Amino acid sequence: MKPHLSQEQFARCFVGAATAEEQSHISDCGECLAELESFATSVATLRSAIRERVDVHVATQPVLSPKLESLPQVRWALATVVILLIGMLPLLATLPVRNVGHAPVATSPDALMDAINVHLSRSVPSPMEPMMSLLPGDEVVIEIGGIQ
Amino acid sequence: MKPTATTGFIAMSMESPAAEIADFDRVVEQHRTRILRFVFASVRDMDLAETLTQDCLLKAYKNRHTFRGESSVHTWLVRIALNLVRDQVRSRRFQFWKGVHRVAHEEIRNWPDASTSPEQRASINQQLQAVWDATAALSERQRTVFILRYVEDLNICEIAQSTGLTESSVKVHMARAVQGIRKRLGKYL
Repeated sequence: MKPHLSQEQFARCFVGAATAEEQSHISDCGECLAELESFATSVATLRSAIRERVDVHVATQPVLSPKLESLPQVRWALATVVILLIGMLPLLATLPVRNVGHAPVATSPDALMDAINVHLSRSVPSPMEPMMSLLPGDEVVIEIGGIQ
Repeated sequence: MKPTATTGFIAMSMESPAAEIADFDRVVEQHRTRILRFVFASVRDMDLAETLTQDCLLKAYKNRHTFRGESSVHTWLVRIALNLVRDQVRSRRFQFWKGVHRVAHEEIRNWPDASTSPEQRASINQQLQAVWDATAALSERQRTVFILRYVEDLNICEIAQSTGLTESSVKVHMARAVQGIRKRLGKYL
């Protein structure tokens, strides 16, 4: 009796590259044939399982056309701008707020002189005026020796 | 009425792979599942497979003008997917030192349906898991060739076009894959 198929011969038979001698052995040897069929069943089971697993997944997932996703650069740019803006928020909060109101511009020579007089008659420079309002009144001026 | 030479040419060109690629929505519809299946069988992680499949289709869409129609659209897509899978496997090799294991080997159990007896189901699931694990132990090329042949039903010529191997090399890898799986299956046969 001929020996059973070796690993190599078995593989050749399975992939359809068996020699005439190997083919005749398969048709004569029930054991080798059964093993070949069992192997084919295992592979078919794997094939069906993978197909079923993917089919179930595909059935539950929407199909995204790549065209919809073909703008990654734009999306990244938008994300970068948003992140930069969020990052700059604390910096923007600490910036001094400029007074956007404009002082009335004197046009005539008299009005200009009046404005100069007002400016010269100030007890403190105009930028310091807001701070002066924070100081207490005349009755609580601190002098040496305590509050009078 | 006999078709004229012009109509014959138009009809022929509409069926060519180069014409097929023009309607990309249709390409996605027709090939997405097959590509996903191949990638899933290769990387064994459905989320990753989904990402790589999207990447593959996006890459194909961007490079659709370079497709010359020398092979079928599916073969071309498989080639792109295969490169992405290889890149992924390569990058995973470099992640080991970080302790990153993104890809858990998924189990494909609970098959077949409930029509068989619980004993039969258990036996088939064991066998299935054994083949699934055995394919994981193959070399990357052997696994690719095996999946393309026995899961995706591609012929030797298509596998050769997708992988860039010669047909005789495909046959050798396929036979070695079968040997490796058979050796590992052992008691389940």
